[in-house]
Amino acid sequence: MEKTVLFAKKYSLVFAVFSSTSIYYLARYALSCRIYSLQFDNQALLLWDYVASIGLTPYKDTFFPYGILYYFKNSDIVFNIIYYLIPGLLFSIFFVVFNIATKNRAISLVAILTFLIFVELFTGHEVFVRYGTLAAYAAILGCILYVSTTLSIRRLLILGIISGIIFSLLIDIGVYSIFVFSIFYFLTTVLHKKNKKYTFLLRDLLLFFGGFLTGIIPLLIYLVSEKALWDFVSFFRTLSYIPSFAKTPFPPYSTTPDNVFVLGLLLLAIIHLSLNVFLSKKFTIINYLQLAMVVVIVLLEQKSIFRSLSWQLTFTGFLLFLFLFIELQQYLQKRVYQPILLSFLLLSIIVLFFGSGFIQLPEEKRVRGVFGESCIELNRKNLLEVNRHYGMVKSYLESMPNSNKKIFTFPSDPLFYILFNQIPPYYTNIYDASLEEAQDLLIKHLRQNSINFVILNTAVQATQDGVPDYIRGKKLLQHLLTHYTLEKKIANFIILKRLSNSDFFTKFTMDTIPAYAQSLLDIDLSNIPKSEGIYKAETLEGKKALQFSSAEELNKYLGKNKVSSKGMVLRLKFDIKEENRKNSLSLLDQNNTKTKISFNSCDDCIISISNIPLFYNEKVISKIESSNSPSEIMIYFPDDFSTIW
Amino acid sequence: MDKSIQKVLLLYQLFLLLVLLFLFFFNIQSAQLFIFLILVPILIYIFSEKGSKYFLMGFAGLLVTWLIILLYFRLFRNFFPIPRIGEEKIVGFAHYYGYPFYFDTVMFFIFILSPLILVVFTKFFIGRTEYGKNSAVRKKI
Repeated sequence: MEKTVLFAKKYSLVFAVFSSTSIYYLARYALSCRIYSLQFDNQALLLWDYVASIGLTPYKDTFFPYGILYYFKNSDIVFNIIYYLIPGLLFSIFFVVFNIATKNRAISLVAILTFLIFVELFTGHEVFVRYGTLAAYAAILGCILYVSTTLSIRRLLILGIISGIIFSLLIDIGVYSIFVFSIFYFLTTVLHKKNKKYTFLLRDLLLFFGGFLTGIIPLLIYLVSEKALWDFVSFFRTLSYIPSFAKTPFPPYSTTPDNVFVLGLLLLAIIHLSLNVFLSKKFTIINYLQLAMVVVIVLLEQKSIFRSLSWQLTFTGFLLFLFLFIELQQYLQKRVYQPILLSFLLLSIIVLFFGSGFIQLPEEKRVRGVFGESCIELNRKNLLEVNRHYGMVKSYLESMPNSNKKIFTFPSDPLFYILFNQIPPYYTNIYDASLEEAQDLLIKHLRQNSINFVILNTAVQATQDGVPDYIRGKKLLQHLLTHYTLEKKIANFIILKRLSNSDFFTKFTMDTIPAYAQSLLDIDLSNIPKSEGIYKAETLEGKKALQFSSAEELNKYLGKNKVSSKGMVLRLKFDIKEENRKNSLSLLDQNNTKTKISFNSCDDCIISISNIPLFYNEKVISKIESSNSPSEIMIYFPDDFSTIW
Repeated sequence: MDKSIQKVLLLYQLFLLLVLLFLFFFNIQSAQLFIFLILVPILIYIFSEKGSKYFLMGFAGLLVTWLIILLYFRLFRNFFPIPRIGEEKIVGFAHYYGYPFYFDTVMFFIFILSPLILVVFTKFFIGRTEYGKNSAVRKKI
């Protein structure tokens, strides 16, 4: 009894933190319906809730880049409750960590309260559940490794199992947890220096993986029962390509308040820890926790460097700030009165909250007591009211005499699949289908399901990052414009009807949607011809080519000979290259329809003509005009031009 | 209790309070400034350790180096090759606009590893000099 009372007293505050935060999150978010907007990201989130509610399997029936916890949280009550219990669990872990780091109860309470407020104001529960899990895992690891740098078999297996469970629920975080363990374990072993042999590390890693494989057993059982195991493995292969099309420059984001804060603290911590090492100072528990956060931030910054996470990582910077402050407090506690230290911490945090300029989260619209399919229905009704054009397109298509009302949307707008109660294709937008084999899968979907109607949003010409969809989704767009013809225009949507070997650039198209048609005739290839010239020129060397020293000479040849665009690769060489200058090329077909192709200045430029929308169908090139005089023009018809973009 | 440190902390808190009032009335946000202000005490603590002042000049030099890299950012970027469109035919931002794929990653690791390299170099350098060989600092380091 006495032991129980002591236990209860010791952990009463931890339990208070867990219960109060869990009640808050459950009361506020659990079993409620989020109201989505029409933005690209929101439509994707709504679609994933929809496909989960109609019983589709993630990774097998639909592309879903997150874990099953996120997939089922809005359609399954159990997953929903688990999801909203996680923040409470994480806050409790951090509170225990603060208590371990500082024996000063007041400081640990201030730390956890300000951390709670920070997460609520600047991070949000969705991001916190994801990245907070990784930070908590690293913090636990820091505490365990401080006590003993060599882990027992039992501890290694348990840590591996936890990592496996995290992977089962949150795939990307599970992968990160493996890296956190490996890197942190190696670093602390090196720092400890007592164990000069590192061969045991391999054995320990294997034990960890053994635990990991045990932890993912529930996920494996689920995947096997859904016959989705191989699809899950293939999904991982697809995931590896995401950095390729998701990469955007980091420097413009590096100076945002969020990144300045995180990177500034990261640098400060690295300087502090490296000084500790080389001044031969013994690492305390707080240094282990700082090192844990450094490892987490460095790992997550690799993701941020590819596609800026900025505001999503600020809470890790705040944790690092708290750990650094706790160390300062421990240094000063015998020299400065505690109230002064406490007030200094509070004041610093208030200045940070008000003066930092961190992105504050917008209020989420939620309706309590609506869940699952009812939530989908509520969102469907709401979005139809927000933009009536969606309803107009739906009504028009439903009035069509054709019995097969299956639709396909391009480049995104997956909302239509919800409106039509249709099972969507594997990829629901061109951004996720940036990979050519993903577009092949969509083309196969169009054929196998005999999709008669395509809804194309002409207001969206570049789905993400300013990359035009005629570049990103070249293969899919080519299929759509050569197998479907313009049927009707409703606001910014055009409805295409299936028709084999159709030519998009008819008089009807030019009259009905002049702006959109013209956008497909004014093409900007940007850096592509330059890149192809640098890397692919050798594939054309030695191949048979028609050679001309100027555009005039080429035009004389085109006047006398019918030159087909099919399989044509154009290669232009320029003597004078001016950086930051655009070249342009105009091509006319047999109907005198002109397409203008702009591209960045290059010495050796390669353009595959069948990638130009006007020449999606085979046509005769009647004339060519160039803004800059190329010193040489070569035309190839290689048997295999699959390597050329 | 150390009254001089307490006095300094109290004065600094007063300064932060004035900053807060300024923020409240003028609603100006400047991340770099305010983040630096709250980190000043931690910075002083880090560099107050015996022996760390030898690294201070080195870190100041590092800061100047980073500023130079920032000024000539485009020049450094142009050293890196533009991305190649591979067999999978993916064309994202990097391929389309010709932004070097691993430039940011390399710069990030230079940024975070440079303090470590500086510390190792400074320790090695101090150990090698006559001053370092004879001084008590050498023994400390």
